[in-house]
Amino acid sequence: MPHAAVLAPAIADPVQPILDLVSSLIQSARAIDHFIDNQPNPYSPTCQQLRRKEQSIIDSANDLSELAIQQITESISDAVTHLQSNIDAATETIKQIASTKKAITIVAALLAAAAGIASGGTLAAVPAILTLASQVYAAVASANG
Amino acid sequence: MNPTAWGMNRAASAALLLLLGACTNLTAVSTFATLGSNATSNTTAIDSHLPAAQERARMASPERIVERKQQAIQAADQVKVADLGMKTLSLYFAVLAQLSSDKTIDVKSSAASIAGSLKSLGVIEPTISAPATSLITLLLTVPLDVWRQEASAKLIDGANEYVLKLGVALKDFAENTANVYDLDISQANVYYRDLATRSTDPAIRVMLDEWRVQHIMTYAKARDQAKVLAQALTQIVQGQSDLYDKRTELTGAELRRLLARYQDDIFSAAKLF
Repeated sequence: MPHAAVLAPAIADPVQPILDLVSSLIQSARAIDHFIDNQPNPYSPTCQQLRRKEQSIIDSANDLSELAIQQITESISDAVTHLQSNIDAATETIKQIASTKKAITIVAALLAAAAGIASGGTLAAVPAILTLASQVYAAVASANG
Repeated sequence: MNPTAWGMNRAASAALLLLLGACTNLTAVSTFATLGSNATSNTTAIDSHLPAAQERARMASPERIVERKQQAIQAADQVKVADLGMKTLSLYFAVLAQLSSDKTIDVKSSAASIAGSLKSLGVIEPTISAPATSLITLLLTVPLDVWRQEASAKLIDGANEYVLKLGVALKDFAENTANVYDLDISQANVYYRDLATRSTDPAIRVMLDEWRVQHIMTYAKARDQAKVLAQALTQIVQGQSDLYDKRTELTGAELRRLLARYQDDIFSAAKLF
């Protein structure tokens, strides 16, 4: 079984005490399970009485677990709402960097075309011009959404 | 442009290459963020909260059965919220990974093309083509590099409070799911043994005991998956906390060492499902 997850004390985890309490109750229920498992007759009246006690522990632990899950889902909803705006801003930056890279590519293509024409190789310049045209077209199309 | 302006010796060329090499290395950040994104992209362990709650309702004591069935219905909505939380956290790390990736600012091919064109146009001499390419690459890369480093730090800084809150809440969600499966194990012990107590037929008792053991094994497997995710989310939260603390020195050796500590646990969750 994986080892228990423990956060550094500096990181707030308000629900952890409830989860720890549930874990303690689970250990109590498990102790009763273990005791019954080791009885020659797990259906004896004594074992039945122990199961009533175990059921009570299970019910209490499940009630606490429900309290925890309500707090947890509220925290998730709140965090998601606030986090999304940060993600959107960073995504916009990535797009801007990509646009800048595209502009550099266009400059490179433009220079390649100029070099091709200057060297008298008009035919050699054609692919570069076509590349440039397609990139400008794509950039304009992208800017227009 | 005067071609002589580009005249530079081999020492200058080497110095430029060194400068280029000194550009920001955010590999540790990018690797950690990629792992974080992968580990949170799969919601299997989160989704298992619903069957855990349904099993709890199925085996509940008669006086609690209506309440537990109602809670199982609510569990479906809780899973939807948690799934959205996982997707948002995964997206955060995916964006951070992309921002900190070297590929985002790679302009080497464009720089080589520009240098080649400048050579063809006679702006630079063929003998200095290689250092000129390095210089152009450097001139184009440095501003992009500074930009992405600042943007990475800004994202880590601005999002930190909510990434920690979300990561902790999802860790708690997974831990709670593991708890519910643990309780289902105890509930199965009570439920099937109580059923067996009502029968005096040994064959029925044996059959019920087999069902009990089978259910317990299923619950234990789901519980362990939820615990692995909880552990991975703990490490992801710790890593984010370190990123925030070191956000002004994202290339530092100490941050690389800190992030490396978490990667095994996160990787084990990423490959689990």
